[in-house]
Amino acid sequence: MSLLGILALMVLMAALVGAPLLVRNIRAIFTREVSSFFTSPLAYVLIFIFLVAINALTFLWPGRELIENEQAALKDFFFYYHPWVLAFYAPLLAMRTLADEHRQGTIELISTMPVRTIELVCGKFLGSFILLCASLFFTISVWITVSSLGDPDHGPIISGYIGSLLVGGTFIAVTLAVSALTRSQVICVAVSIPICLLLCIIGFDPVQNFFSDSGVRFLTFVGELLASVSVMPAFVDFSKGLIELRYLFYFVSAIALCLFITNTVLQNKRA
Amino acid sequence: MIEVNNLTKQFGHKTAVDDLSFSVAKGEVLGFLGPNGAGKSTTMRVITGFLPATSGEVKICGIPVAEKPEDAKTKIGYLPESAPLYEDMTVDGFLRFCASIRGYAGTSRREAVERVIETCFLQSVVHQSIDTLSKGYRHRTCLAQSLLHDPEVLILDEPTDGLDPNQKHEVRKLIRELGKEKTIVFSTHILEEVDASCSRAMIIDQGKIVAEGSPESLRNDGDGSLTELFRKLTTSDVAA
Repeated sequence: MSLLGILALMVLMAALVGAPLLVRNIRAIFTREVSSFFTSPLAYVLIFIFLVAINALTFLWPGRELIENEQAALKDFFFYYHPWVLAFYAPLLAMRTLADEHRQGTIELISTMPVRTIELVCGKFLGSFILLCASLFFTISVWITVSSLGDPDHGPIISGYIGSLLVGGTFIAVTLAVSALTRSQVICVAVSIPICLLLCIIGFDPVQNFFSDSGVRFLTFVGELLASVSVMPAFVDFSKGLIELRYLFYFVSAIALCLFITNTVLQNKRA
Repeated sequence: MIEVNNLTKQFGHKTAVDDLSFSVAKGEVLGFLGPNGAGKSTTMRVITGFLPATSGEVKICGIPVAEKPEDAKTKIGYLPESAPLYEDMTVDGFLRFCASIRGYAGTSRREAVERVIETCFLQSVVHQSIDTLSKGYRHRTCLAQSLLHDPEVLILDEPTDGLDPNQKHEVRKLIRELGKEKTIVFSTHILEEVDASCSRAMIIDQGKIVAEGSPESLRNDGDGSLTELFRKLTTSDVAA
């Protein structure tokens, strides 16, 4: 992944080198995105469902209930579920953002204004990312609960949240890239969710163990390749409290690659 | 101000714009006439940079649109045919957003927004949500965003489409006023608008120019009637 990451970053840099990104444009776009999200009742429903899912999984999963297990460390009882829930939530959050521009016809407006496509893409990404931050913020209730009942180590919890944000950001970027390829929100979600789930599964321990325990060199190699592309190994380390540079690099380059793909598709689609 | 040289736009096998060449000077108001499907909107979309040309060149104030799109777009105000707007914003919020993109901030932004609200008579709907607006107000809001940055070039695609006679009159008056200082291209198939607003007109059919000139000269060519000329020169897609 590191080689791919370097490549993706270089390509993104090259795309930007022409002229500096206008932060003003990006800010105007993501501000609009965030305020527009909350004018729809769907937004509140989505966030509510997300919070119910996270909290239910944390407190009610049979055999892994947080309270009964008396575990103040949140790694296995709270963060454990995040990538899987985010694989569904992030696409649902990000699917409307480009599709709405086409549906309302405003793509014609924004494309004829002095906004570069990459600025539009970054603005859309940041808009959804900010909403993801807000959604994850409200899960702090679990952290507060655990802190009042026991004495957790706060470091891993903070790095766990950083990991969640990065995983969610990656999934949002994937959804954006898919939504640039299709006008239908349904198809976008139907393709993005499996991709995000796949990104979780290929690095998931039982799957990884299958490859590494096989004894066949080719399969072991495939296993390592899959692990390098998956969000799981990175996220697991983050939830333990380890913030490794190579994993930070992984997330940044995955997001950059998806945004670059989105930019390229949008620019070429009308040719 | 606007130079179109040998512009061709194809969508797959269909040629929407066929080797079109014309130019519009400062202070000119050009009317684009033609039947539906003639290529008027497509031409405008290439001029404004929304669609790339298949071949040919468009220059706005000397800036080639294909090579320097952002520079060219700062000179243009565009009203698309469907008058698209962000449905979930208020008129004021929408205009402030567009003003931000156009580079305005703080006091200058507020002044620009107030100016266009006054020009387009939007005072009574300033804080209303766009999805509750009538067609006339929607059109005027979209027109307002095209005027925010006081552009040198205005491209208006069917600016009076669907408006009532009072509103049509106001928009035509506005176009005449703005046309004194700016370069305006607007498309219509309401032939009386040609006399009302423009200094020059062009009839387009199947992607090609079939007639060009001042409203008077075109009327003379049509034996006194613009409608006759239109019907003579353009093909109907309905069997006679």
